[in-house]
Order: sequence, then C-alpha cells, then structure tokens
Amino acid sequence: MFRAIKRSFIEGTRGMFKNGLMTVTSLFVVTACIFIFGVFLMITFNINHMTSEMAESYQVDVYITRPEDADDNVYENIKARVLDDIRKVDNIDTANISFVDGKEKFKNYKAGLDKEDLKSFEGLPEDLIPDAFAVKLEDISLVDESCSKLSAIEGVEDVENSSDLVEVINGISSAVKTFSVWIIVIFALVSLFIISNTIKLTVHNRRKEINIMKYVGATDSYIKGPFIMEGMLVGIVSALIAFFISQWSYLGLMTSISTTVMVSSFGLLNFNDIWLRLIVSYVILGSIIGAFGSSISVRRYLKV
Amino acid sequence: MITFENVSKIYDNGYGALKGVSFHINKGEFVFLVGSSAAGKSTIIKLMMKEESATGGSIIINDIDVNDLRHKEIPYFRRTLGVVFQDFRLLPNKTVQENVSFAMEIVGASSKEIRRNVPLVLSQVGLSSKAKMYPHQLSGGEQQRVAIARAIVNNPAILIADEPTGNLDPETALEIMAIIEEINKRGTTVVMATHAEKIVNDMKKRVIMVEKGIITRDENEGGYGYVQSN
Ligand SMILES: Nc1ncnc2c1ncn2[C@@H]1O[C@H](COP(=O)(O)OP(=O)(O)O)[C@@H](O)[C@H]1O
Ligand SMILES: [Mg+2]
Repeated sequence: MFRAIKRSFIEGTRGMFKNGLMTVTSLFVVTACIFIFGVFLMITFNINHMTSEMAESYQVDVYITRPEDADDNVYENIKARVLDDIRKVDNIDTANISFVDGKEKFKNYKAGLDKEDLKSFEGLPEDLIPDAFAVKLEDISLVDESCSKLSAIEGVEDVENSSDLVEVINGISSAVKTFSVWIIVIFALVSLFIISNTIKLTVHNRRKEINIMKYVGATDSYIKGPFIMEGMLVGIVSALIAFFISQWSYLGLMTSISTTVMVSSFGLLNFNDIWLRLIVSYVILGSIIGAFGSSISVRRYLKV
Repeated sequence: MITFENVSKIYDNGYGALKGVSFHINKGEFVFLVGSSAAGKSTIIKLMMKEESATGGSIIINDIDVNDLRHKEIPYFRRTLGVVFQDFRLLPNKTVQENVSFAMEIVGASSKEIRRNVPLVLSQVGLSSKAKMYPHQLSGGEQQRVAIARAIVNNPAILIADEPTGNLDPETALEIMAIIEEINKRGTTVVMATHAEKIVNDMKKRVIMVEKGIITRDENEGGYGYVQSN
C-alpha cells in the first residue's frame, strides 16, 4: 500500500514536470477557479458570521399585561405562568430569558433625557412601560413563527422585534449561499475539464506503456495511480497558490477598509479566524477535482 | 490446459475472423499456429489473452473460463500467461533490466525477489552483460530476448508468442527459437503463431493450421505445408 502510494507520487510528480507548459497552464486556470470559489467562500463565511452575531444580540421583548385589579401576588403568578409558557415555545433559548422591569426601564430612559424633553413626560404613570421578558431565539430565521407563538400566550400584551431587519439579512445570506453554490459548481466543472485535459496529455504520451502494462497483467488501479496522483498534485498546488492569493487579498481588503472607513474590522472576520477552514476547503476541492479529472482521462485507455 | 471449443469471433465491423475453431493443448506442449496472413492467428492469440472476447463457443485456459472473466479479473488471469510480440514492445526509456523488473513490480513482487529473479532470467536469455543498456542500443534479436525475459520472469504456465521472429533475420530467428524451446523444455507450454516455414519444418512440433478462420489441419510433428520434406 505504502509502496504503491510512493510509486504513484514519484511518477505523478515526474508526469507533472514532463508536461511543463500544459501543467503551468492548468495550474494557472485551476488556481483562478479555486480563488474565485474562495472569494465566495469568504463572503459566505462573513455573512454567516454577521448573521450569527446579529442573532446573538437580537432579542424579542415579550410584554406582560398586568390586569387593573391584580395585586402583587396575582401578578407574580401571571408572570411565572407566562415565563413557563414562553419556555415551552420551540426555538427559544431557554437558558437566556431575562426579566425587564418596566418601571426601571422607563426611569433609565428618562435619565437619559434633558430637562426640556422631560417636560413632555410629566404626569405620565411610572408604570407606563409594561414589564417584559427579553427572549433570545436559537434560529433567527424563524423569527416570525416564534413571535406569533409568543403573542398567542395568554397574558402577553405585545411582542416586539425588528423582524424587517432579520428578513433583509436572511434574504441576503440565502441569496449569497445559493449563488455561491452555483459559482462553486461552475468553477469546479471548469477545473475538472482543464485538469482532465492536462492528464489526457500525459496518458496519451504514455499509452504505449499503459498498453504494455495491461499485457503484463497490471491492474487498472496500478495503472491509474500515478495519473490520479498527478491530477491531485496539480489540484493541491493550485489550492495552495490560491490560498496565498486569498490571504494577500483578504488582508489587503481589511487594511484598506480600516484606513478609508476608519472602522477597524467593520464586523468582518479576521483572517486568523478563517484561514484553516479556507485552506482545508481549497485542498479538498483541489484534490477531488484533480483525482476525478484524471480518472476520467485514463479510463478510455484501460479498456484493452 | 488450453481448450478452444467451437470458437467464433466476429469483430465489431461485422467481419468474421474465426468460424468455429476447436483444439486442445496439453500442459508442456509446443504448438505452432500457422497460416497465411489474415488467416486468424493473431485473433486466436488475442482471444487467449482476453484482449478480445469470443463471440461464440468456449475457451478454457488453466481451468478458467475466459469468456466469463470479469474486467477486474483479467489482470490476474494475464499474469499466468507470458506474451511476446513481433514488435518487441519494450519501454524505450527503461534499461533492459528495468524493462524486466517492471513486469515483476506490477504483480507486486518484493524488491528482494526482483533482485534475485531478474539477473536469473537475463542470463537465461543471454543478456547478462547488457542489463544496463537501453532498447535502442540493442539489435532486434537482443530486444526480442528482453521481451522474452519479461514474459517469463513471473513464471507463467503458458508462453504465447505472436510472430516473434517476424522482424528478425533467419539466423537470429533460430537463436530466438532455441531460447523458446529451452523455456518449453523447462515445462512451460508454448503457443506460437508464425508463418516462418523453415522454422516450423525444422522443429517438428505440433502444427495447427488456420485458413480463413477455420482449422484445416492439426498434426503432431507436422510441417508447414502438407509435404513434409523438401
Ligand atoms: N480489430 C479488428 N477489427 C476488424 N477486423 C479485424 C480486427 N483484427 C483483425 N481483423 C481481421 O481479422 C482477420 C484475421 O486477422 P488476424 O487474426 O490478425 O490474422 P493473422 O494474424 O493470421 O494474420 C483479418 O482479415 C483482419 O483484417
Ligand atoms: Mg497476425
């Protein structure tokens, strides 16, 4: 097994160098394809990051009705029951429910105003803002569904959320994801075609040798090994080049954003946070395309 | 060892190259397959190697039903055969020694076995001194000896040769025949397609004559033609 891999590696490398110009051309094209794939991958990473950050700070306020005639005891019971009911709704982060005291909220709000503005609040009752539970959702894309369930709870006066914002974000992120998938498919196919053509050249140059190997009793996988390795090497080298280009452009973009917009990071992920995911995806994509592309080319010669 | 039973072969273009060929070859035999050009000799050889598949009849080699071989099994089947062609089919960028050891590497022999067996077969075909040379530095006869060494290095039960002397002058052809006969004496079954009359007549082996895809004669200690001497 190890010997077979070693042999494939040696002969695959040899094939890569023998093909000189063709290898350079396909490295170039495949690198470009992987890079374009990477741009969309990086955008997707960032959008996912933004949505999850948004989700983290995003909260739904569930206001509680205090009946006119309710004394503190009764009201406490109502609050406890509402809390229980909230917990029963799906998609609620049950560990993260906090109580917001309406009077305090109103007081704090007024504390932030100046004297002029305060005048218009004179005479208003101090319990103007009802008490509420601040709730976090596990998946913010389900905000509408969850809010209607929350509103349906008995004793809930109102449910407040900024669902428009969520919809916009969800819309963008799903559009980008769909688009990215298509980009990935298209450029994977282009790379596949390019690599398979390069390998076809190696295979064609060595068809006599392949033929002799078949006569002597070589198995298909023995013959395929070096070609698949050659394809994978082209794919992996392209992946690495594309990775360095990505790193360089990502860092460049970050610097120019922070110098022109004067906002460091701008909510974008640091390269440190994505480089591992990026390089792993590149190498996996590159080697799969390489292996697959070359096995397409060899197959035809293995029929004898 | 080798049994053809009413074998026919129609090529994809519709041409019927073999029309009901039957023969049986025992272990250790030496058989000439003779006949004029386009008679169907190479077709018989290709069917034996499963390079082509029969369109009718049955072929049993070493107890294996060749028609039933699955694609994956073909390599392992071929390892039980050694093949030699008219055009040698050596790898030009490999030395004599490498051309032979390559056949052993393919079947997964250890490097120890390779180091032991390759010099052995090279001396058997008289090429020990040229082990490090490349095919283009050798004469035709020497190249064919390399091909023979490659064919026998994995100890096949059967040696199949298609016109192995076709590209050689008569004297060299005799040297090659001596080597093949020696291999046969050590127990390897030999099937050789040829239209070299003199060789066939001189060696007095079993002769199977093919004409237009039909076997017209099969005799022990036969000659190329019906007239046996001169
Ligand atoms: N792949 C093929 N496709 C079609 N016809 C073929 C093919 N191979 C051989 N033939 C035909 O089959 C006949 C027998 O060929 P072959 O077995 O090579 O003859 P021999 O070796 O006796 O000279 C010839 O007429 C040849 O043209
Ligand atoms: Mg022929």
